[in-house]
Amino acid sequence: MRGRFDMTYRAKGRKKSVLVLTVYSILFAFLVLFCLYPLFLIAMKGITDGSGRITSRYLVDILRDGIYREVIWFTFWQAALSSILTLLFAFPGAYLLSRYDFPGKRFVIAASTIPFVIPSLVLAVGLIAIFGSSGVLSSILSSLSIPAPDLIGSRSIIILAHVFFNFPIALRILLARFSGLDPTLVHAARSLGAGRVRTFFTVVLPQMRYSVLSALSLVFTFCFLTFGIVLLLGGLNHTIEVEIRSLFVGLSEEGLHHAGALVLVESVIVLVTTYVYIWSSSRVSGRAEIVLSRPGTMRRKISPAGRFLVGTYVMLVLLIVFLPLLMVFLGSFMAGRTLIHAFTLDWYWKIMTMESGSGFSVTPLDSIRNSLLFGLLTMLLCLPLSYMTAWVMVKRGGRGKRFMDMLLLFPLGASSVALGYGLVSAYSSPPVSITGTWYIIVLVHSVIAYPIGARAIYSSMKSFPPQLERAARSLGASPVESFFRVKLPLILPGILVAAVFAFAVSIGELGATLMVSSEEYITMPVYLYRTVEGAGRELGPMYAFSVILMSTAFLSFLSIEIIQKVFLKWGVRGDT
Amino acid sequence: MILRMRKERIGALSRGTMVSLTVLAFVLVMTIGGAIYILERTGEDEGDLVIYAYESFQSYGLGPAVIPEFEKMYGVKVTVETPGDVGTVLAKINLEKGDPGADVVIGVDNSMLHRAVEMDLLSPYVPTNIDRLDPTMSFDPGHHIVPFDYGYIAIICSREMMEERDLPYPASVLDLADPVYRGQLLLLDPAQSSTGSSFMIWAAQVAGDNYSAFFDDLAGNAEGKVFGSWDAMYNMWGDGEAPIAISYGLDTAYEMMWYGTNDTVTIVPPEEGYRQIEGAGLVKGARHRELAEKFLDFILTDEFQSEVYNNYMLPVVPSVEVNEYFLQYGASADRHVEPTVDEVSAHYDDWMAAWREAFFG
Amino acid sequence: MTLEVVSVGFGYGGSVPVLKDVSISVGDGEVYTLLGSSGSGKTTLLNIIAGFLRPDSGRVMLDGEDITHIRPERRGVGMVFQDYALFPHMNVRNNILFPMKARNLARAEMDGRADELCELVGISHLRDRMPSELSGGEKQRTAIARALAADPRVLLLDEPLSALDAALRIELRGELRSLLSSLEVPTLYITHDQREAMAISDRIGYLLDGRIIEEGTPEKLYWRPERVQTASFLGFGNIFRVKARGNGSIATPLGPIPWNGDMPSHIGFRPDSVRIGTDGGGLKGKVISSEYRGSSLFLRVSCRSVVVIMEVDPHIGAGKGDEVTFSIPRDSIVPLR
Ligand SMILES: Nc1ncnc2c1ncn2[C@@H]1O[C@H](COP(=O)(O)OP(=O)(O)OP(=O)(O)O)[C@@H](O)[C@H]1O
Ligand SMILES: [Mg+2]
Repeated sequence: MRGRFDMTYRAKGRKKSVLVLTVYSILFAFLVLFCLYPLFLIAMKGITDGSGRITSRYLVDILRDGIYREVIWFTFWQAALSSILTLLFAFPGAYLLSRYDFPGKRFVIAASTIPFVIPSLVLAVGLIAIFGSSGVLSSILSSLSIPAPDLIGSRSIIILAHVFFNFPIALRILLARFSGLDPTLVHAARSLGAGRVRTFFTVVLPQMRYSVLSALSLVFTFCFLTFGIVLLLGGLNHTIEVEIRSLFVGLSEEGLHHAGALVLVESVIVLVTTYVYIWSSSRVSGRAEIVLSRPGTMRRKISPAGRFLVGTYVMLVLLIVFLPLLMVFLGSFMAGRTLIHAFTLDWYWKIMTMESGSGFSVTPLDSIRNSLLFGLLTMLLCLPLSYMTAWVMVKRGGRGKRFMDMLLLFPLGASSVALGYGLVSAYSSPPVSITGTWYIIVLVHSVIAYPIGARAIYSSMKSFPPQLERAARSLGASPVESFFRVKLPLILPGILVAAVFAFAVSIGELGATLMVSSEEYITMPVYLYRTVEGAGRELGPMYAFSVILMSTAFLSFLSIEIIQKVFLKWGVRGDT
Repeated sequence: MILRMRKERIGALSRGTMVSLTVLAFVLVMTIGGAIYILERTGEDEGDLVIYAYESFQSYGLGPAVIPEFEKMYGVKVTVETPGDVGTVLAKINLEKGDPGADVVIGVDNSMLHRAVEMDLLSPYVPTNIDRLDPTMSFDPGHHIVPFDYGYIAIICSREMMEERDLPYPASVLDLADPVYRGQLLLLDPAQSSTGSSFMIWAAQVAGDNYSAFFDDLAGNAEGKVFGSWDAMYNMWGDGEAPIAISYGLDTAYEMMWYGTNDTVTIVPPEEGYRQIEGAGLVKGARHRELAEKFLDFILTDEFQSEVYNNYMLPVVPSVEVNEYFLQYGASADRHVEPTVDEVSAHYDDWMAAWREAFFG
Repeated sequence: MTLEVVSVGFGYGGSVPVLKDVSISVGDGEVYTLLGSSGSGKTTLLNIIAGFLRPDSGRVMLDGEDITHIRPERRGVGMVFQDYALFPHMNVRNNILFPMKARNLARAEMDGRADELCELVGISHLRDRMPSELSGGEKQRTAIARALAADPRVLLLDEPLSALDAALRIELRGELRSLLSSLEVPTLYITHDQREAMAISDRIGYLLDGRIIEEGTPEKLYWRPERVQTASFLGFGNIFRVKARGNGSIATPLGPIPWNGDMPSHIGFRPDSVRIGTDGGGLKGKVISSEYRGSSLFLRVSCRSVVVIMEVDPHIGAGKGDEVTFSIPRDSIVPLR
């Protein structure tokens, strides 16, 4: 162990391990208090009966009862199908994008970051605008007098939404690997007489397998834990998360136990898939980062056929990423329900001027203000958490490292609905009552967001040469000075990306927030959810509000892009 | 000589870093402080009485009509929070049991009350003016809630579509199981919608011991057209998804009131009426109990009752005047089949299980 | 000012310590080169001196003051890293200003001094460049200027030329030599290139197995090393085990030679000290291989039971299979332990 802390001298070697221990303790205290213990409380419900005795009854119930079994099964297969479709769609795209250069490629790649920051609710609203009973598709179809299928509330729309939402993520993971492939290997294979197809299957594909697995497991995990999309689009189709929520608000003691059992089952599955994700992404060899254009012979002039392929694909990508958002945007300016209507600013006006009665319910503006404040505070709380997590992940090696990393990143795969409910039920009676406070929201958002930030900071930190810190010290800079003048500026891209993510997560979170937020601290997504629920025949305010939420998130996206640009020239980057 | 004499005092921080850090710290403290200040102030707005209500209490207009009245009457400030539908409201109260945030809960109806009672959320209270209450509303002998309005659960039919499809009008809930209505029904999920749960209780009451088989037939006729919220279902019905849906006895009345014409046939079978009776209750451990009791008394006054039409509902005090549209077009029954809380309590889980089995099994 | 490393021992935690007992003393203005093969612990020793690692045993003294437990930034040890470790987010000027800012010098003083240092290492025209826009040699100069800007009490250079190409290396080492000797601080220089060591140092120490097994001036180590390992590292191609024969002579594989004084276990001679030709009788052998290396010809000649390596005038033109006669001047034969 000793030799590992060679950053500074050995007197500090021991101090350093004390420091690592301290940081671990802080992180674990946070994790236990605000994530593990609340979840434990919920999960315990699943295996104990009313009088606290251990029982397998509820587990058996949910595995036998038709409805619960159906929910679990549906959650599973829709996640599997969604992730496979996503991969099938992203794979050729990543291949094409890595092989061909064309104007606007940078933009396409940048656009693929958007789903990271756009709340899933906005996407759902976008899909309503396209596929809903008064959506674009049905207007077009009915003008051609073809009966329009109403997809909203069906299972297909859920899967469609998941592919829409996750495909850019898969694209990024695969593209990073494709651009890192050694072109000489391909050439070697080709010169040895292997045909194009064979080369692809025997040389290229095997090198992609961990990336494929990591994209697959990540997308599966996301789709498995999906909440907002199913809540809004799924009608009566419940995924586990949505079912858990309706059990939590269902007010039956029995239901709570079943919810606990569901959380247990869900956690087991998600633990496996997150483990596969962490394992496989650590297996991806080489530096996986997206290279825009690389010198090398693999790149070539586009043949007409290639141009057609690339063109079609790029159009599709842009369509997928932007069409729902565009529809929301257009809808917010349309006076009527369908696409072609007079331009109006009424919906925005309505939102901005909506009065709250004498000290009653909140207005849209309240929710915007709250969300911005929560986003800010979440960001500020997440930064130290993410930083510390990344720091111990870099510092600590040796046995049990993967387990510890897994534990530190645990909330990545935690059920946010259960987390929210667990937090409230764990700390709702004096002396520690945090229900209805503003900080319970900041806390739960931070728990959900910090692992994502930690990953961004981690990749920055890993590419920081420790030599520089030594150099600074030998030049007379104190540890604090060298941290602020040398290390911090160089890992700043990772930190800023982490900050943006934390903000974006907080701005868009629904599952947990729905459980913990009180009226006066309502957030934008909760407000949007209520608007959609009560939308009735008037979709305008819903669109307008989505546009506001979307713009806030879009600003975070822009800042990521700017950050990347500014820092790229120093050769450091924060991975998204 | 190239190297100078060394200046001592190394360590600490350079001026530049010191300045940047100070500025950073200042900005951070100001931002965090500012954010927390705003949030804290938002939270402080709590009034002298805190009411949790379902969403439509505010959005339909009943709240804004009566709350200021009450505030004026007692010179107090009332905060109304609307966390969601009744289920969400009760779940919130349940979560806060140790440290209740609300004094009064508004919107617990006779299909939900048993849950609130089972979970021991409410403190019984008999209003001083209880004699004003319509005596037929005796489903809650333990006085957990004070009813404030009611409405018949009804079968609504689109006249146009019924004629177009040449369908007979159902005369009883039981008729809905008739195979002629296959694919012609929009139903509600009782697990998600309180209207749905009222309908289920109604149907179970009317069907008696055969409820299980009746649910199976209903499920067959619904062909999966079951919705999570009344809003969603009503929209689909309006869009012509199916001619028959579950709604309220005042639907035709409202249509007449707003549009002057109607396409809606609202059916409440006279011998088997089911009223959804909504009430307000005193939250157990309420911090402002005295004022909460005053509010519950206020509910049965004319000031409150004359505003319940906002909710698309009828007053529970018989002497209160009802507008003419309601009188003329509102469907009502002579006999009522609402079970008491205890009866619901005893059977609800069985009904629910049978319903789920029928619809999702 | 003197730098003293006293009996330093250090291990990274493996079974064998990297440094066992290293003692070095470098005087004011002296350039001391630490030679050693890759992995012998040279960088480790520098890290100990700079304060990034703490020795398991022994002390580091600067000017008689024990600095073993002093924090790196308070030691006044300037270090030039193997890969220069320039701060990529600061231009050349700001890199050089960094140590002065850390010590809160007055603005005017800092600027003047930075200019002076740029002048000194010849990078005045590069002041506004970012490190990524510099060539290897320019980076190296910047790194030196930056280290000097901290007014170090001792200067450590870790293979500062290793990242450069051969020609530049030779050019720069002359420059570096004159720069280093004009500084009045002890300098510890690390390399594993023996020629560089010869060109640059006042004194050389050879690090092997965690110990300095031999040290001395470049001339001494080049011509008259005392240890077999040093000799072999410094290019003594011919090292043979010898036996005592009594009566003042020793037996070597090439025949007996007269000897007085202490009995060595080995003798050695450099390939370039071998004389080839007919005169002087001498030894006869057969060329096994010959390799032309520009200014000289390397021959491997089998003679009696051994192979002798010789570096000779290329005009000799001996080829594989040729018979050659050669002799070894008596005074070029070095006794080794
Ligand atoms: N952080 C570390 N942990 C464990 N062992 C280490 C560490 N750093 C170096 N070592 C080992 O210590 C030994 C000495 O390393 P050091 O870097 O000092 O060698 P060096 O003489 O500088 O080599 P080179 O000439 O290649 O730079 C090596 O065997 C190396 O593997
Ligand atoms: Mg080294």
